[in-house]
Amino acid sequence: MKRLAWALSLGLSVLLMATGFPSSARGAGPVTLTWWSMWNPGEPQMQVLDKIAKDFQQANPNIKVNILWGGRGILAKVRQTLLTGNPPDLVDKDADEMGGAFISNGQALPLDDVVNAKIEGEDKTISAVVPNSYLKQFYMNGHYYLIPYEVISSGFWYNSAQAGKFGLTNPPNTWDQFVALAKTLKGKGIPPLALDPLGINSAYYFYWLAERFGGPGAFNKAAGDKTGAAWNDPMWAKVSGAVADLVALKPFEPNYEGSKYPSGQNVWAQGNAAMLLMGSWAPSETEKMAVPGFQYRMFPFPQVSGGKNSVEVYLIGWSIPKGAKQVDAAKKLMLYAMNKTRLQGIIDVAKNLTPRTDMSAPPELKDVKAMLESGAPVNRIYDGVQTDYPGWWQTVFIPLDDQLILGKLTGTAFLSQLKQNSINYYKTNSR
Amino acid sequence: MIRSRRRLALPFILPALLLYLAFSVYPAIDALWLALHSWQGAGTPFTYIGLGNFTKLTSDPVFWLSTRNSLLIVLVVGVAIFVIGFLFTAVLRTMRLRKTLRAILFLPNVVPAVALGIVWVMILAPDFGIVNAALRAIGLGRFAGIWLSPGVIFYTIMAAMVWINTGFYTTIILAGQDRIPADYYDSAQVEGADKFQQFWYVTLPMMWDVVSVASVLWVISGIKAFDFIYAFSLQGSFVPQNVWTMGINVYMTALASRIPVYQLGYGSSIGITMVVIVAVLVFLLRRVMRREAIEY
Repeated sequence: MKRLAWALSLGLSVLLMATGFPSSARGAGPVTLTWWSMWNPGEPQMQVLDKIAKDFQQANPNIKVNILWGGRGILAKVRQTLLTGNPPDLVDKDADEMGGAFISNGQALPLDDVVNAKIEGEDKTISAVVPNSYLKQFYMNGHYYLIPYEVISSGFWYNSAQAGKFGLTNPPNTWDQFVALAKTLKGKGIPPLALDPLGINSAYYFYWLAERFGGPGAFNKAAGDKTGAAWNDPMWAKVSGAVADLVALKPFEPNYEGSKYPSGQNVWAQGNAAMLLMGSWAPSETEKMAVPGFQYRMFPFPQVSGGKNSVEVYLIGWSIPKGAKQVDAAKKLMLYAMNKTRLQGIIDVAKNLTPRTDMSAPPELKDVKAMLESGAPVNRIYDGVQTDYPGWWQTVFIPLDDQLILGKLTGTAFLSQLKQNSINYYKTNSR
Repeated sequence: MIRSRRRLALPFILPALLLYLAFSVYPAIDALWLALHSWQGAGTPFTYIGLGNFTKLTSDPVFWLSTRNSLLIVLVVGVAIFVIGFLFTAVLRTMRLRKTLRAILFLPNVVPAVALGIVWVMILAPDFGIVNAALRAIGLGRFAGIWLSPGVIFYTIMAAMVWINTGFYTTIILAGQDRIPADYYDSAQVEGADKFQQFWYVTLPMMWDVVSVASVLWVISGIKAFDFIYAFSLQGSFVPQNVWTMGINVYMTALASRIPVYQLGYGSSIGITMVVIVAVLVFLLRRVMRREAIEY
């Protein structure tokens, strides 16, 4: 009886261990490329990339592509696998987030050979069709680490079918014209702006004014100043003052304080607010809620007198984590996917922009394409502050910016608290 | 014979014991080791800093805010749950459909907290939510739309947590009450005791041990509160800081990937502090609620 018990225990233990062995240990077969993606099942980009993967498998019978459609939190899983030494072979996500998650701490493989290789089925290389300013967003120690397949920017969206009603027949070019328009609309009882709620959405106003007054890099430099002295520059009083003056008009839709994403953009899409400051995903995200006949147009964030111009370039793309097993297959897939015909799905199905200069834009994003091709200097989203100083951004800036947007702080009070809280924060934190 | 049966049990316990040691005990010890280091994950230096993370907690306003929120949940939500639970107990004790009603009360516990968070947001949405529509319909439109605003959202969360958890603890209290022989209530009634006196002199003393255990369970659950609050207050990829509990603070500090803070050592120190706080609260609770067991 005792021997039987021991035998049963041993057998059970062996069985448990055997089921844990990875399938690759069970013998040779086709190469399996593991790809972890930020898209959720059913999303338009998921459909486009899934088709590309299936076509790639057909064209390369010895490579099986195993995709995990993991959603926006996928990088938390990727970071765990870096610790175990078993990361996926390919990851796609917002470039800034991948930068913070594993590129900037040396856990990604260089992709110089991919950037300079010919795209599958074409005579052009990736470096020939994607602007160098895009590729260099994650260029460190002489190497490229990102292959972008989608580019996003931001600006003020409006319905040109109702341009007359909203005073947008000639959209404002300057901040003064924009504020005057907001006042006019308020006078008519029309909410000038819709706001998807607080946090990183409302931070658009301060960030864009910082770009306009200070140019690319100014906000990033001030965010990282451990002494807080950077905030003494009179430019920052203009930035915070401009936000506070706008908020004092009460320009946002009713109950914006208590709304929940994506109610703000839905209010706008239903014609109940004139403008929406949002990324170029606004048309694809709101098309189901938009009133019939909605014509998507966008104008860039207005200029300020004596200020600087720039255009936001926010990339989504692929990177290969260090420790990936099927590196060659991953690189082959990226070169296959960047083909013009295959990437067309990003425009036609996902209604977004590709980073290729030789590809068009969906009709809804033609204004964004024109802005990206204007030749203006490029800035990262939030001037890179969210990636480079995430702790400061999350615990110092965002709570204060929320108070500014809610009208609970004047521009002067905001700046004073921002400076003091930054000094306190950097006493015990590095970023 | 008994000794040989005990020896027989060992190989059957061993696999589960090994799994428990590997997936519960070892990670807990490792979390303590991690809390003594500064680390941001693979590829970054793993630097020993002793009690540096714990020292940092003392001057971190976000830590104190999240601790305050967690303690408010334990205290305010806890008191509300038990008061309402006892009220339900008093009402349900003699009701005909008590088993069906008990099952209905327990229902929120069956639904995943994340799903409840999403549903509650839809119910309270300022423009199309049913609560605000009802308020507008009865002329109380001035109260509509405030439930998710920054100044009110935490109170809304506490109210929702009372709704979610009351059923579970009422079920425990009812089970404790079911053990009390009816004779005691009959005697109390004969001697002229009203409902409250029956509760105070019969029910409460005779199920004190059940209430004590339920309180401990609530303290642990309250300090750990995370999934409902996270799902309810998530704005895209961001949780407003004014609703952070200690659990959310750990997540946003160490693991959340949209804003890449990734302070794993510091996050671990918050987690260790949570364990210490739970241990202290449970100790104090057991001391306060200690009394001789009543045999019947």
